[in-house]
Amino acid sequence: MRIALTLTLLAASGSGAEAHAFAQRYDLPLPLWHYIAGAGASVALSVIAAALFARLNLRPAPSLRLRVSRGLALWLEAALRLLGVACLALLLAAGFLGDQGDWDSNLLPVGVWVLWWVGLAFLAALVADLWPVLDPWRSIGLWVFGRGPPRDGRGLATFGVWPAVLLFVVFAWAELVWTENAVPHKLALLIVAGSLFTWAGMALMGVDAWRRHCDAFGLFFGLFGRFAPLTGRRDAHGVTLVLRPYGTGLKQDEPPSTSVMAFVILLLGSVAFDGINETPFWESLTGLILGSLYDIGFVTAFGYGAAGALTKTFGMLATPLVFALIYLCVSALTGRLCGQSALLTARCHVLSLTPIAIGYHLAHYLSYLLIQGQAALPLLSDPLNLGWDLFGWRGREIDIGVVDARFIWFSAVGAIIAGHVAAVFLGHRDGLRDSSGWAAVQRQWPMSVLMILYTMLSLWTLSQPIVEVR
Amino acid sequence: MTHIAGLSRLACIFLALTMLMHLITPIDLLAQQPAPARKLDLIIRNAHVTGEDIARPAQGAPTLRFRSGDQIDINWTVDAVMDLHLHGYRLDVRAMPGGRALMAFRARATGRFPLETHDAQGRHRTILYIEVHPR
Repeated sequence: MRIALTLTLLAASGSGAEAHAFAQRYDLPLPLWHYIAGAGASVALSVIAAALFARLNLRPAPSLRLRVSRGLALWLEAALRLLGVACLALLLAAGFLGDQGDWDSNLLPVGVWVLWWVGLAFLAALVADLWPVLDPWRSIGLWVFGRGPPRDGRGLATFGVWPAVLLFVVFAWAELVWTENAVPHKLALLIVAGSLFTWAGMALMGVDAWRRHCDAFGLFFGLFGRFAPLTGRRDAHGVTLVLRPYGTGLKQDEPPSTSVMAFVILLLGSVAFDGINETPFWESLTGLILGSLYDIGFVTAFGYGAAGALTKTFGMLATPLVFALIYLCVSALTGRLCGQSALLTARCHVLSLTPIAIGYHLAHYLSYLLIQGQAALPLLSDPLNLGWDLFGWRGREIDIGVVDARFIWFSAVGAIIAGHVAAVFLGHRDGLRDSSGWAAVQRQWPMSVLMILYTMLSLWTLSQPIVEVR
Repeated sequence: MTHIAGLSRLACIFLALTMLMHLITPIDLLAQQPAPARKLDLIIRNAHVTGEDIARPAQGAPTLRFRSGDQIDINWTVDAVMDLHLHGYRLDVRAMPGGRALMAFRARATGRFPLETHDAQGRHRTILYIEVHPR
């Protein structure tokens, strides 16, 4: 009886959507043997790494440096800033004036959710983080308000990046829960509101202070960009491009602040929830929660849509909180072994978990980027739905056969294991800073176990058949 | 440069494991077989689908599995007027009670594709997933 009610509730909550929700992924679940091989490899590599690190003394990573003259750097920066601002203007124009039909008939949802959120994150993690120069809000802020004197700089410092953490929660809600996030004019309105809010903040506290404390996207792309092999360093004479091994940018001289740690955990949790909420496990849990909401009269009072949104909001907030709880417990255990406080241990280790999140992000979104990203081509050719054909791509259809499932499976497991190896490497290197060899390995074991579990969670999510819950 | 040696050693191990994973791929997945025609009769009653070959996992939605390259012909029998839409492949078929509706396609792309009904009241329901596995 209970099950029947749950199923009816699920069907009813799913039937409200008139338009198709945002672009689906069509990934096949990771076959069992890929899952087992991936999990086995992550355990084996952790053990091998521990054995290797027990004997190694680490030196600073090598890097290649390339000087770019001040003039060229300024030109490049101006060009990228203009590009960023032009993209924002084009996307908003498309959102308000373009076709309001399905998600793939307007450049705004495709541009925001596929190219920017997924595509730029791929670029940031694999090549370089271009967001600081592409960021149109920052560019316009700099042009309008100038860098200016740092107003209230000291007062704001106590906030850390907590404002950015809050703003990221709002953004994650729009991405994961809001059912109309692909309706062009509504998404455009949200962006306009967000832009005005951002510029008001910049006007009040100064562009640089905003960036230090409130810029959630800057933090997100920046975190992925620290993993990237290419980065730029600005000085009085120009810019130095630095080519370095993957992940070395995550090395830290000082542990990040508590608020940065919270941001990283929130990011790991929401990226994980993005996958978990498509699994049959989450669907069953949703059924149970909806059943309880029905029992207490919530569904009768507010409707199925609100109950569904509430359930998803709960998942979106609960996942990072559960992550934080587990992480703090493991940190307390590691801290006890190292004679360090739990919070300091947690702060010291948090960045070394990032590569696993990046590996999972790549695995989760690769097919999405390659398949749904194709929708951008015809839309770029006619961005405002005026009958143009700028690049000859008009009328081009999405080819769902562009990548084979086997390619996706191998690259997914490969990305997750590579992320795991990078995480284990970084974790041990941080551990080796104050103790060497076997002692470090012995003290790090709770963190290593956590990394293996986190990697397995990522693999498990990919091995689950995608079930839509709208 | 012991650090680099350590990294490259790790990279070698990673590569070796990847190759090992390729080697232990089940043989039947790689075997090339002629693409058979799959003809199925599926019935939709009260928004639930029944018919041969539908897998019903303990957790998760009803699923039909095919191999890439298969020619698939599905004959639909329904209890109300509805449109049947296969995502990804973007196929639309209008079905009516008493009549028969045919959904025919070649499984050229792998993936897991939701099959949705759109009824006269404008409701969308995912009733079935069609999985196309690599050959």
